[in-house]
Amino acid sequence: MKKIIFSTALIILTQCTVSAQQLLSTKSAQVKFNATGGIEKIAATNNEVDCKFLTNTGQIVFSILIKGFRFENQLMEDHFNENYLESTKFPKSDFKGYIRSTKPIDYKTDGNYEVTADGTLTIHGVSQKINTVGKINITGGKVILSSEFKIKLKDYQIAGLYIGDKIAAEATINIISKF
Amino acid sequence: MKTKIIFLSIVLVVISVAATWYYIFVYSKNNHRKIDNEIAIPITAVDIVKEYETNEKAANAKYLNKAVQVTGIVTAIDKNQDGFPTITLQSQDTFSSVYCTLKSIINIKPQTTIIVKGICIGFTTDVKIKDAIIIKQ
Repeated sequence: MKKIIFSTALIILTQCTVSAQQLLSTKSAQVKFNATGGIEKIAATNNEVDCKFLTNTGQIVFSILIKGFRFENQLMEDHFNENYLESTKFPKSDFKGYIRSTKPIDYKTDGNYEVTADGTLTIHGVSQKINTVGKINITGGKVILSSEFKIKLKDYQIAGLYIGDKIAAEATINIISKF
Repeated sequence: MKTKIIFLSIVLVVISVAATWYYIFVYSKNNHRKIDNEIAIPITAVDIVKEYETNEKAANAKYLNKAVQVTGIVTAIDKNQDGFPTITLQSQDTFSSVYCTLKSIINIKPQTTIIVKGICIGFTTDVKIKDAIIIKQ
């Protein structure tokens, strides 16, 4: 009887460690965006993005705090928060989806993989299905995810007072997540 | 008399345009929000995490975008992708903490109690504080 309990406990324990190893997470993923339309640069960086990634299933979650975006220009940052993203009403943005690769990914060996990601991106309280391409780089056991894609501001009902030539209709998003 | 008025109004217009331009493109670039002199809400890392876990909306109404002064035990020290130091303050929940990004490099040891002041930007699984400065270590 004791043996059974012991072995069950052992099985549960090993399974716990296995699944723990498959979860990668970071609190300092980087998300940049650029929506420069005219001469003035409209770009910001957020270095406090949460990212959780399950390597066995490819399931991925990004959680982004809008007030974490830093602009070179404080006034631009204030407008971005107050007029465009309304970050007091919608403080968070997130992406929930799956990373897919045609080749199986070996996380124990150094390598580069071209992957696709699909899922739901929520910005400004509006959720949209998106599809994008990205890369997975594995160097010395460290995994780095990166992706660049474009979003249309109007898809997320982002329309401040001065939307026009100064702000591009599309914003380029850059993501680097180092685990 | 009439030319004087016209001349004066032109001068006024030029000055106001120049001032607006200066404010938007020069002043705002060089003057970011400084929390050094702002009065911050004092709280412990344990309590702010608890408040966010209990009711995120209410906690956001209280702390979001405000200057907060958090007391806590340092569990991790790291750097973000732009090279700024980050520190993690312990809460009662193993899976949550207060995650602060500091403005400048500092010399902090893990497991010590410190007080940081910064802007609360919200809650993911951690309460996040940006542009933080060390008040006491």
